[in-house]
Amino acid sequence: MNDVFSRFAASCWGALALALLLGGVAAPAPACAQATTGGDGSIYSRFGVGERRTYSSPQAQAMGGGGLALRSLNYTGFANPALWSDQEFTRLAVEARYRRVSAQNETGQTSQLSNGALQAVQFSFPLYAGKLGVGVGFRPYSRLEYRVQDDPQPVSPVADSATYQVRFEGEGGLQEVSGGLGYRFGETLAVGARAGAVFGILENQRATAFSTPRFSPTTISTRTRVSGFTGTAGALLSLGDVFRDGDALSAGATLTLPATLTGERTLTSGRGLEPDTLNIGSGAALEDEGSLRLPVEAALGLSYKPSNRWTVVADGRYEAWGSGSESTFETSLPGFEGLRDRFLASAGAEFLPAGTDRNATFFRRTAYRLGGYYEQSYVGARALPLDETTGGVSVLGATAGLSLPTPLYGTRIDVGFEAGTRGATSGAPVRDLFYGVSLGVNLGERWFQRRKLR
Amino acid sequence: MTCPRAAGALLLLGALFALAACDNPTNVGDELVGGEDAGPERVVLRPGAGLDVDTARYAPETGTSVPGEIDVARFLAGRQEAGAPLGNVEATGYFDVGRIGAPSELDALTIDSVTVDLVVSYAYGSTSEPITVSLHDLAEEWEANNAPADTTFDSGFAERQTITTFSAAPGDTLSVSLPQRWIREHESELRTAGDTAFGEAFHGFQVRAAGGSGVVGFASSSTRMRVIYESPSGQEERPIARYRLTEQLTTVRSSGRASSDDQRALVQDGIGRALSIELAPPDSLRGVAVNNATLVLEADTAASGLPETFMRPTLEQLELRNGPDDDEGDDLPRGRFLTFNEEEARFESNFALRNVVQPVLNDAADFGEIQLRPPPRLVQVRRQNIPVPVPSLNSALIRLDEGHEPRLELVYTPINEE
Repeated sequence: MNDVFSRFAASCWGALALALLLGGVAAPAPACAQATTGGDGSIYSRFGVGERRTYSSPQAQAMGGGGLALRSLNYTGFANPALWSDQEFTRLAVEARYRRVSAQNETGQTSQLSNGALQAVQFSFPLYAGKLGVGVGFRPYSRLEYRVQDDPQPVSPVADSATYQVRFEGEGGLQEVSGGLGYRFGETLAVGARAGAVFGILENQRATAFSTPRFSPTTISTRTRVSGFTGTAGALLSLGDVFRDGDALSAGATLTLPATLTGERTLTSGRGLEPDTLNIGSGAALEDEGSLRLPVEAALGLSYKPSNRWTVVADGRYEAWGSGSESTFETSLPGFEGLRDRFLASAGAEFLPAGTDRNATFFRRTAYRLGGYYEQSYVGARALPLDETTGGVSVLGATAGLSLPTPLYGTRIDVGFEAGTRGATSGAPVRDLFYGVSLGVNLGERWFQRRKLR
Repeated sequence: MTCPRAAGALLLLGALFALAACDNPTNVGDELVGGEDAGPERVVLRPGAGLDVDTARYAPETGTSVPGEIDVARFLAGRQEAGAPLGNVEATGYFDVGRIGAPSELDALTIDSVTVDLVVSYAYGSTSEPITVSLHDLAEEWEANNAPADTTFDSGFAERQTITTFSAAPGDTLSVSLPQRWIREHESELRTAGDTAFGEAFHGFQVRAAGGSGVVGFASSSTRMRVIYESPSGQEERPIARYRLTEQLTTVRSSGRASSDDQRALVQDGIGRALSIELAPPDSLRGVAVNNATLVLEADTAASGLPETFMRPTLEQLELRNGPDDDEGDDLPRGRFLTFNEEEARFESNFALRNVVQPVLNDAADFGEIQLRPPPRLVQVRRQNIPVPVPSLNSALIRLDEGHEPRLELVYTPINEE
């Protein structure tokens, strides 16, 4: 009876969290009169394939975003497929986030933008508990989400009082659906492999509106639709009693193979939701078939658990966009030719006051997380349409989070917070200040496992 | 346990609503999207530079026999030798009548007189003196419906012999008595019983110029023929057979060089002079998104060289029409007009001309030669607005001189990839 009540209570918690999660993503600003089509975020997401995203788990996100060696029974980390070998529960995790960006230019003018998006959906289960596990997940690879709205300008300063206003928008992004296995060899070594499909639509629009219906508004849209496959191999080394009794040190590493995404770029012009495909002089449709090559990625992470109350992590990631990316489209994506290598360094800590005490109070069983990261984004100076004295774009961010326990062991609700700045290192025309919140529901159950009498 | 959970939920809600503020996008980041040069651009296509302009001829419809249409139609007659810029023109009218009421036993009555009633409702050219026109018999059956102004008839179709001549001036209401000789020659036809038999026996009149300068138009609805009989014995009232117009046609011949210089182009109804344009956009405009297109034709309203008494009705509208029938261009949508702006002294498109221009720039349509013609008059007939051929010599002199030439002004958005 108590078990039934616990499950019911847990499901109520989950339902509440899901409702908040969906409500928060779908209607981030209910009082706003002007609705936006997609997300609105950083102008720097215009370049390359959009703002690059990496996601492992709600726990890792709140600890700086790495988590390659972050072993946990309550989370399935997607940063490293070798982590899937640790699974004891069948697990479903959903997370959404809402982010607000305040962009400021050199003159002090600001632009307030916000966006909400599904962060990830993950499903995982053990084939042999603690030895062989499977993970399948959906997560964003990149996001294109910007909006710039010029001030009204006169159509013709001499003869006409009509004005026009140009709005630039970017929306879409690449998504990754991946799945794989993690296997543990004894207590020390685990390996994993993941295959994934990367796909998505990157759309840049330039909409021109007029103050009078005498002029027809137009929307010029460039849509890039690509898809391809990639693969990631990972390893995890775990040692116990390294510095003191009962501690645990883990090191993880992954290597992601380059991926070639093939597809087409279409230039359209028109009004409304169904713009016509433009024809160029020869009569052929202005469609361009080609491919994008995503570079090799390598990541390394450490985690250290001095006790069952503390966990600290540190991670580094390298992506060879400078030399490993390539576009065969006739007209490349904005800034794609000028991308540079991407580096990401992160660190974080988690404090769980109750440790393994399942009878402690709610707040003691709540996990408290803190982290930070520095990213040298792949948007280098050459990717920006500015003079070369401008530096590339970098990001400095802080993360935090709470992991709320539920009556059902293995199920947690995660709230994450993030704040940071993004901009060019010198001569920055725009500097973003961003902050956001995420909400995740992480359901864990012993499904598909035969109960044993002991 | 409940309290911490509620606190957690409230914390979450508070975080969400703290972030849920309105968006306020501005031009921050404009330099990163190339916003400075992203606005619409303006270009003017002129003759020889994206727009081919020429004069054209067509044959306007001037004949009709359709009930309803005929009530608003008219026929013209007269000759005007104006020289440049309008040239010389001669209009000849044709009309037939049908009996609408007659006394019984026509054979027993003696015809006293026959009159043709006419009302002058239109005038073109010199108006200082009335003009003289002559009335002639038509020898054969003829078809007026949809007949154009350049219709020709076989020699002998209209009798050389004049029935009568009469003077006509703007505003006149005329009652033209036909001579006894004509009555005797046509007595058998006039006595023909039955409306159909009369229609087959009698073919109508021609009205042609016989003297003076000017062209007049006679209102079809007011054109009547009356056959007046002598009073039968014992009666005071004289029986009358009444006839009304059943079909009409105007043929127009022009001669002499209109708009003798290269500074003006004559567009004139009746004669069938039009202006033709053809889009020949440069490759740089291929595929651009057209925000606005305005076709501008400046008009010479002074028409210097004409006497003060010269009546020159002007065109208020021009219609965009496909060029010659043998042109293989796509069909233009009908009912697209340029309207005369009196203040600016120019014709301007007041419809979405961009919808015509955009397919051309997209290579999705080729309208070929587009003619700018005087439009037919739209008349409500049986609850529908239909174009009715109401002949006129209304005209417009389109300026061709440098700086005032016909031009297509485009505001467009370049299609640079985003």
